[in-house]
Amino acid sequence: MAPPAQTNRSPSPSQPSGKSEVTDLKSQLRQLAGSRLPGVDDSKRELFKKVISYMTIGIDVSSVFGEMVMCSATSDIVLKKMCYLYVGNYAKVNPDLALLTINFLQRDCKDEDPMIRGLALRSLSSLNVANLVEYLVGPLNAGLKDNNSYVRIVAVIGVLKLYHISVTTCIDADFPAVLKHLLLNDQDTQVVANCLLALQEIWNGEASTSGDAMKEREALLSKPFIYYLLNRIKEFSEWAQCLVLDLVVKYVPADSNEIFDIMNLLEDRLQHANGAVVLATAKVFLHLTLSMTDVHQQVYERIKAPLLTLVSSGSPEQSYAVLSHLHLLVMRAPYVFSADYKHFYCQYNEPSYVKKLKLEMLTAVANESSTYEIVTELCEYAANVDIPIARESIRAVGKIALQQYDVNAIVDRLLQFLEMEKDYVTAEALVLVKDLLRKYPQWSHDCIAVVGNISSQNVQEPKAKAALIWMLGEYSQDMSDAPYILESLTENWDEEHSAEVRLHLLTAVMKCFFKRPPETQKALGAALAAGLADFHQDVHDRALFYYRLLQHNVTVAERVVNPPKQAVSVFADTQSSEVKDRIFDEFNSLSVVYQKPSYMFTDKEHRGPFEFSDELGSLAIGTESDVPAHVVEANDKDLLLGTPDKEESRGAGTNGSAYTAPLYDTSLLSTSTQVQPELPISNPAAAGLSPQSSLAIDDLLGLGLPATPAPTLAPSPPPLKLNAGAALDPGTFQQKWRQLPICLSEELSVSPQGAAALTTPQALPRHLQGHSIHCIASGGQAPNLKFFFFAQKAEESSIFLIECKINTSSAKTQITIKADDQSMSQAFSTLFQSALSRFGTS
Amino acid sequence: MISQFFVLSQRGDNIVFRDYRGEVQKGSAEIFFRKVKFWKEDGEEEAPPVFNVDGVNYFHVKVVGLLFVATTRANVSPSLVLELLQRIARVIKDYLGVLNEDSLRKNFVLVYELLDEVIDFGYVQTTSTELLKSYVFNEPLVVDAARLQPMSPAAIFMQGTKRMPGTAVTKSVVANEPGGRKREEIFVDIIEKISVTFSSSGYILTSEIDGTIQMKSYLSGNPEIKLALNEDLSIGRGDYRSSFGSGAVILDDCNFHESVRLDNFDLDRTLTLVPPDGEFPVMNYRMTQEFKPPFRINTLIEEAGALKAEVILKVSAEFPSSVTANTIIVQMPLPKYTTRVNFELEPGALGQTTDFKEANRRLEWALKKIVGGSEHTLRAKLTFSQELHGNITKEAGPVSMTFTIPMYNASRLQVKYLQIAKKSSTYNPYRWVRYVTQANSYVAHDLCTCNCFIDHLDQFFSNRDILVFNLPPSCVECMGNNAHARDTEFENEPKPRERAFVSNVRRPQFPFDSPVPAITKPEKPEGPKQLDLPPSHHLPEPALPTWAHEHNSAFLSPTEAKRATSGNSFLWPL
Repeated sequence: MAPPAQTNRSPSPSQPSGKSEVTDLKSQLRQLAGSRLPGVDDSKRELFKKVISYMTIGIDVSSVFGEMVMCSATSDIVLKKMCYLYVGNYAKVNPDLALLTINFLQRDCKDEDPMIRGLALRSLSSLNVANLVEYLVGPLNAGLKDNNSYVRIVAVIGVLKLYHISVTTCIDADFPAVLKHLLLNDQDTQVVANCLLALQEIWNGEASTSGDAMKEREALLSKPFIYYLLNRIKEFSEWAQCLVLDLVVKYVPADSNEIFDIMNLLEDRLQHANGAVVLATAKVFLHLTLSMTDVHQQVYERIKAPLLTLVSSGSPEQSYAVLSHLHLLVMRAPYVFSADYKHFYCQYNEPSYVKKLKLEMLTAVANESSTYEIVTELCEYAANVDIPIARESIRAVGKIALQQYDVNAIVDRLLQFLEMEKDYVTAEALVLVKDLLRKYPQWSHDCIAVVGNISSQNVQEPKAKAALIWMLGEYSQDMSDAPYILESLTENWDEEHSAEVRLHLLTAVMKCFFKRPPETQKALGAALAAGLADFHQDVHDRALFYYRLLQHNVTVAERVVNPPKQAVSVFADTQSSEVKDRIFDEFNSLSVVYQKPSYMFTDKEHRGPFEFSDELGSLAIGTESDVPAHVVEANDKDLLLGTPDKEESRGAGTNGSAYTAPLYDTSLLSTSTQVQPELPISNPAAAGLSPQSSLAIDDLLGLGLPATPAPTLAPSPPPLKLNAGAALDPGTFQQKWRQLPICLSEELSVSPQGAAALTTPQALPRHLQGHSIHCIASGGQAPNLKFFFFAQKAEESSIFLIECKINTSSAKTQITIKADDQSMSQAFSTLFQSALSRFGTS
Repeated sequence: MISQFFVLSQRGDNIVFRDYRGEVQKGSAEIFFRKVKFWKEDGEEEAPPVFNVDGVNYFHVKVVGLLFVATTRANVSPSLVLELLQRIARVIKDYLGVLNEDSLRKNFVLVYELLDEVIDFGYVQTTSTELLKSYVFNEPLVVDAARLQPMSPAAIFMQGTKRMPGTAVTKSVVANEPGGRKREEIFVDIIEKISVTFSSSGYILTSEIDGTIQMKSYLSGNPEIKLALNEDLSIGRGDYRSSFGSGAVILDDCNFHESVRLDNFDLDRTLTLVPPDGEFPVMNYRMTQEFKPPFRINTLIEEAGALKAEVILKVSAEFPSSVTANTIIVQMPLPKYTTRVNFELEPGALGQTTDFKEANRRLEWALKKIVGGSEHTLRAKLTFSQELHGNITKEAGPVSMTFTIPMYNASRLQVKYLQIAKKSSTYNPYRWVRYVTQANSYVAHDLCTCNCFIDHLDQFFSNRDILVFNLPPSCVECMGNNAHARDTEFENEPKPRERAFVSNVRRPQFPFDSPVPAITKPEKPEGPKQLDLPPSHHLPEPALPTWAHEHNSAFLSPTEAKRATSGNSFLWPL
């Protein structure tokens, strides 16, 4: 009856799959299942432990599922817990067998011991089998009303789990409403915290499709609720405090008094031993005060000491996380930290990821008074046995030199590096001396004297070699043997593997030739010949170019190759300020550690559980788009980042713009109300260009009243017709949006009907679709909506791109139009407006 | 929100693996381990605690050689996750008594039990050892504590002393003593890690103390505890080493555990708390105030011919002879071309070993113990395979030192008394207050072989060694630098009164023979120093327009309403 034993053995003994062990376990469990002997629980425990240890190391023990369930009829809570753990792990792959567990789990959910009720409920909701959710609703409902807080805590998370298994079941059972009730009324703060995080996830998920969820989500940021949480913050566990603080960051206080109240209330959170709480508090402070420059400054001063304490207490990992944030702050406001530079000195036993951050911070905080000491310290690191850090240190010295403080002393140090005769030190120093000379040509005399002594044989790294060759070319008049060094380098052309070095060599020989023709002629000939024969395209081309240039006219060639240069005043920053601001917005997240904004390393849906304040993060996909949805999803984040208006995108949640907004709004409102009646009435024509409307727009844009009566008399431009079936993929859109300049940017009003119709934002794309204007992406939340449209001129490839930001409460729209054919943009704008004006009326 | 949590052994085996959200693929542990093991990015050798592979963020902390790892796809707070991992390790240690691979493997079911309660669906529920007690049913299987690796600095208290309650720090919070009775005791450890950098001329460039007051309570019934610190303690922001010589203990900054109440802190420097079970830091502090470093390191390098040089290292212990430092290691990188080193220890040296680690050209000098007030010297003759270019001091050093000094603290911060509030007069639990100082980064840049240090010769060679110096014509250290001048100035400055070691308060002896008696509460000090603590504030809560009208009363209790209208003098705006 039993199959032969061999079939159960693992095919190869060298790869233990544990199959035979599992079969053993299976039969032993079966024996114990029905047994009621004393001591049987102990033997069961041993077997269960074995099963779980196999599970941990990755052996598949799902085949004993039935036996485990049979054995689970026990009053021993340790056994029960092991069984729950097992079931939770394998239910998903054994949905049929999972059904077996429902019975005993449901029974346990009614147990009189709240521990068992809670545990059973947790296991039941962790089964993660879609067709078993019906069994979950009843116990969850009971659990949420349980008088024991442990059960309620478990039940709230259970609702969230249900939401992830089956959205409809969760919503239909009206669980969000129950959670909301608990959120506001439960006495246990952990229940409240769990409700908060569950509702954030649920409403975040629902917000794209349901207006109600969007409103609920916003209500979490209402003043009463935020205050309700803030006043109780000390009752929450430290982890829940982080959750609350994350929410508070998104709250926009009405005035500065409110800001100070909140800050005073949270002040003592900065003394918490948990770094996560301190950073979350720091984020609240930093974001609340964005618009108050001097207070913002004080916040830096205030959070400095707690952060430094966190860096020096705790494990290296924890201090790294805090140090990354400190690094960000130092980079933003180095002067605040200028007296604290000694905190950023490296300790010899620190991991290199910490040292690297500290070196950058040292570089940033160096000022007139500290430069000397910092550079001295950095020079110690340069002699360090840790070569990557030694290199970084030399680079840091160079950066400080380029910051213009006490260049005199630093140049000396750099030149000493060159004499240290460690190849990597020499290499780094050469590159730095080159940059230094580009900025401070006046130092050439001192530098060249030292550089001239370096034997090119000792320099092997391409970057350093290129730097040396550049200096040989640039300062060949000051280095007596420059032509001969270049000549010998040219002779070894074939051994030079780096194309960069060969390119530099060509140029250097040319420069040298103009300065000292008789000595260099030979080298030049050899270099050009070698360059022409070079297999590398760029080298070949440059050699050919120089050759022909020389053939054409030597003086012209000199003007091209060796024109008088201006000193470089500022070297380009590697990171744009937009990216930096974005990282700052995402303070207390991984973005800071990675030094990248989140869109560069996370999928959209994982960007944060509650990212709605960030307009870009919550963008939904334009449903009317012709493009497959997933393509849009993959691209829209980049697409939207191409938008030039950083300020706008930071909008809704942070108060940066909130304080300036009211003024701006009212002025706009007044203009738009004046114009408003004109537009719909004076624009009866469909797609044609209406002179009146263009006049109105000119007026609106402040372009001056038409001095000439042109509009009516001017030959009307050909009517603009759009291609109804236009298609554009988001990648192209994004690219075009970045490349094209803004043709037109204006504010318009939306008719009251239109604003009303915008309660369902998707109505607008649908409406414009009828006018051959297609939506490619949309997002935001009421009252601020944002859409991206495109349209294509009929029978032509010319594309129009439109960014349209609508504020439903003030009924105003800000549109930005970019077009391939800029001459048509005005016509298109008129067309767009007329289409927009009829929105909500039809 | 995290997706998975797992613990890997040094070899990369899964000891515990828990998937909370099913968002990250199953093979994440292998991906993680391979990445960490063969980390080579940006020229760094060591993987940072947080990195991203294919959209999955991996967090890890290293505890006693084990890797505690969390994964997530979300952009979470790195500080939160790393703190959590560290906290999980601590909770597990509280339960198992000893945390190491062996104890974890033996108790993995208990660990799963803990993990289920600590995190649900990726969200932290609680990390309180106290609260978790009621949810955990497995009994810990105790492993042999004798051969464990120390996890915390407090572990040094277990070294080799029979009279110390060695089991105490390795005792599980849930396990009972044999006999079924729990011993009532509480441990307070003042652990200080000091960082000092000496310039090549012996001048202190930087110094910092990072301290923790760590508590581990085995008291039943959670009594309230009062912990008194130095009365003259002040907490100020001061710039780096601005104040010196006042004699008071001045902390730059500190933070406190959640359970600590600071009601009387401004008044008499006492902390009040109800200690939760398990180990936790009561207070972390940071101090850059000038302090007397426990060791002076002097180094001399001298070239002796083309292929030879001599290094002389001298360590002097500048603490009282009642205190003994142990496990001292002095290290010094040597020039690249060093092929052979001959060591010469002082005559009659005991418990000292020397080594030349050829792989990384490092001299290592280990001393089992150093008694306060003593001096030790090592001479090493180096032989090179090639002639050295330039300055030998640029090729060798800096000298670094690690050590542990029990019953010594550099900051002079003290626990004056520890009161346990419990009604019964017969209740007198054991109270242990212990101090330890460790070197965090203790570095001396080499002495340069030039004039500037001749001034220091007498301090250098007390035993009248006779040396011939080859003085190089110039020295980087002295060129255009007034460091030397500053040194002399510094030497002339009055030294702080040595009061760290003598105190009229009875200090616990090491090793302990008996628990520290509670010292009666002293009179309130006159003129308490003000700590920059804000008054507690409360926000007025407006009515809830959109939220549950019927529950308004619950939102704004009468007391809150009163508080809401009271006092408005706040710290902000400054």
